[in-house]
Amino acid sequence: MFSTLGERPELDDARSVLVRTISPRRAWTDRLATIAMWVAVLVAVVPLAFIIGYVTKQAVTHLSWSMLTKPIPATRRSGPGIGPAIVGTVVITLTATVMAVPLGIMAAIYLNEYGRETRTASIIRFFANVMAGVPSIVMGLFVYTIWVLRFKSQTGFAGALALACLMLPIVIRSTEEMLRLVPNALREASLALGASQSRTVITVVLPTAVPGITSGALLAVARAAGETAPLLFTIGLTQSTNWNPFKGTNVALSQLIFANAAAPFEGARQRSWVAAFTLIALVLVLTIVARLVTSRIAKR
Amino acid sequence: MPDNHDYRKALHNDIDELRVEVVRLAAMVGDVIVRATEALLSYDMDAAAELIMHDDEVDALSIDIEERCFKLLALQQPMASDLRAIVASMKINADIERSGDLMVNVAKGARRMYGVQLPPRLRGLIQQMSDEADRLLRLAVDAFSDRNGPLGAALNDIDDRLDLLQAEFVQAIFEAHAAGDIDLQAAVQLAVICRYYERVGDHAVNIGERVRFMTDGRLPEHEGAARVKARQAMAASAERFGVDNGDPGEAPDSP
Amino acid sequence: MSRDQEVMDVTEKVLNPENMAHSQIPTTVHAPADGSVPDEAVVLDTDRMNVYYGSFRAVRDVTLRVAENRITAMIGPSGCGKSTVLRCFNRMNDLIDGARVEGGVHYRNVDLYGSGVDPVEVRRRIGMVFQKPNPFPKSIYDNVAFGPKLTKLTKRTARSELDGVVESSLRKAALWDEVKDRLGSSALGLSGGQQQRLCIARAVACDPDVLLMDEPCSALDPIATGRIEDLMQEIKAEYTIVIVTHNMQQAARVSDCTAFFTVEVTGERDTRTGLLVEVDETTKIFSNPSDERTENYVTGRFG
Repeated sequence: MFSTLGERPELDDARSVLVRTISPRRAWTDRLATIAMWVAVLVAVVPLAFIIGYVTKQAVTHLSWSMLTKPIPATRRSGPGIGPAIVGTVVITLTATVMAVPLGIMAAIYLNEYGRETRTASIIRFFANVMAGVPSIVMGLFVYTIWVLRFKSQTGFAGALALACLMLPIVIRSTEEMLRLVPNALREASLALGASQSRTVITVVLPTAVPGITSGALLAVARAAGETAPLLFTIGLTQSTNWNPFKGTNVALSQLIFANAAAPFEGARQRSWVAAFTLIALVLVLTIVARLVTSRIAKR
Repeated sequence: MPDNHDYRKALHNDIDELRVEVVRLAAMVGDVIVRATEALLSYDMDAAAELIMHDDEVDALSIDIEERCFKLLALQQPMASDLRAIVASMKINADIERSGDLMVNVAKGARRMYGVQLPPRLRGLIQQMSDEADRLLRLAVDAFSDRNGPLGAALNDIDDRLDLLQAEFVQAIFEAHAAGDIDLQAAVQLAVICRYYERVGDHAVNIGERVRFMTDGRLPEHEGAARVKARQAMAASAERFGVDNGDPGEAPDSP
Repeated sequence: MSRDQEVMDVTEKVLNPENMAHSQIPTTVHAPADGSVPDEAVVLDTDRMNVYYGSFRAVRDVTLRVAENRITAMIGPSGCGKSTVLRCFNRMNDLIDGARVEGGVHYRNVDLYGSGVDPVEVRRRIGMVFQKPNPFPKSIYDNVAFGPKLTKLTKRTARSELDGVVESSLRKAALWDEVKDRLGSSALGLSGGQQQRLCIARAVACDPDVLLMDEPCSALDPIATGRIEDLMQEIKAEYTIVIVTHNMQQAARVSDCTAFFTVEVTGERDTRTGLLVEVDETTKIFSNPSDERTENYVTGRFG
């Protein structure tokens, strides 16, 4: 019925048109692109694996219960002990998280749900971006100036303050991104059912965005846990365990690594390796826990 | 309007074609009127037989038109004037086809009248009725093809002339019978035949009414229907009124 | 019963007219043909309403009345402002920056844009179903219970009462039998048609007076569409429904009353403003509209 003869003769032999060997040029391009991508992946992954592998190799021989729990000996002494640094890192990071995450999420809610394109919101967004670009040592100096110098004391809390300053813009930006991903249709649906805006945010928007917000916050926590610079001026140094962030000097893993790795003593270097390994493990555990929590929330 | 593009060209082309086919059917039947009268008046039995056979072709075209309408209704979901045009075409189709059947009856009548010598007056009146029926059908179909609603509505009045001719013809039959020019059998046959012409006129009036429906959505029957509705509404309200007042047991006694 | 038997029965009926009393043609009672409805039955009405987005006038001079317990359809080409008008009825336009309504929009004789009118309260009484099914990423149960949980009244009421509301809403939306065994599972696991019926159930659970539907079937297949259309007929005894649709056949099938909107292009800058052309009984609009523009639209002579 639909004869193609005469007008479009090439269609009469569809096979000859459709079935054709791929040209060598195309085959080569395909192969090259595939190889290039594999190389890129290797370049990215190999150093990472190398770092983890090397740290593990160096640390594992010295890893022991007493190493993780005992107080830190003097730098030039050999022997176990990084316990206070682990406690310090956990306490300081936790304090910083408690300050920065709720504040950052609330700021992001304001920016995305209420402020939107208003002038105030734009200004806040601009400064959050600027803050994200500030070097971490500046944060340390800032807290040193306005807090440590005023109260004449280096405490875990001062360090947490500096870390919070560092985390805040990361939390704001990641949370805002996540809130932006919540479809507007859900907000409309909620509002159309007669929910107020605050109710909509609490019962619809936040639960929908919670997996993303959690991983964003987690990223900030992991980043803060590994920071050294903001802590240098703010928490001081101690060799004994201090659970109280508000009183007395403290010590963190990152700081311990910084202080001990450069020391010309075998014992200090060993403690450094273990501290580095512990830090990586801590962040890893934190990540896994958060993933589990997130997926549990998402399922609900 | 941003543009005047026709977004349902296929449907509108089909409706145009449908219109052409209806007009073609009407032309066929108009031809049948003329030839049936000729066969009757010239005692041409071959022509009469041929006309009776020819009716199958009229029927075939009529069925084709109906199928076209059905197809358009089923597949195109026409609306408003398109819908009315198709529904009207279906109705008009039936009217035209029936007119053709009536003329076949005239041809059959011609066979039964074979050998009857018709008085000149009756012959003249038959010719006039035939011309008038032909004219009415033509006018009705003109109204349809031109979408001329007013002409369609006017057909009811134009048909009066054919009715008068029929009355005159019946009178003439009585007179011819009384004068002994035709016997009773022929008189009855002629009375039936004149009725066929008159019916063709009635169908033309129906077509005119459908043309009016096609153009502005109104039928003369709508007025009758409205009267029925008004009567029912009045009856209903009267009943309600009656119940309200006619139940003294419920009404409180006034002092 | 064989065909011959049927024919004989019919013949007998025709020959004995006293048997025919029950087969008389029913006479339907129509509302007045001019589309007007008695005052007490008007649920929503607009009086020369204009809607602006900033300085741009999106819709002009819309005067429309929506009658109680009827389905009113709004049709028209894209950009004619039918959705905009719909969104004025429950103040969803408030959410758009710069949106402004002039002229009267009344719900049961209350000015919806009057001072002191709480849009949250408006939306509780005038529910909405959207074009794309938008269930919350929660369980089926929680979706339907969302509205009832909002009102202070049910906050104190027992769980069993909430269960009752959820069940009756899902039944009204003809979804109960399909989901009763998995009320706790995520609403996102439902098919598109089921999701949309869930959204209707969710809206119905708030016990609204009016249900606004913004192209509720445009993302659904014909069978799912058919179910929703059936559903609309079933619930119209309890609710007043206003539906915006791109599908003329749908408007013809489901609605009692149809409003036709169109766009007019004015000025050198091609400003497109929507306006209401004609509102009438659906039968009238689709068989014999009064306005030539409606005629041209429904017969496809203008898109």
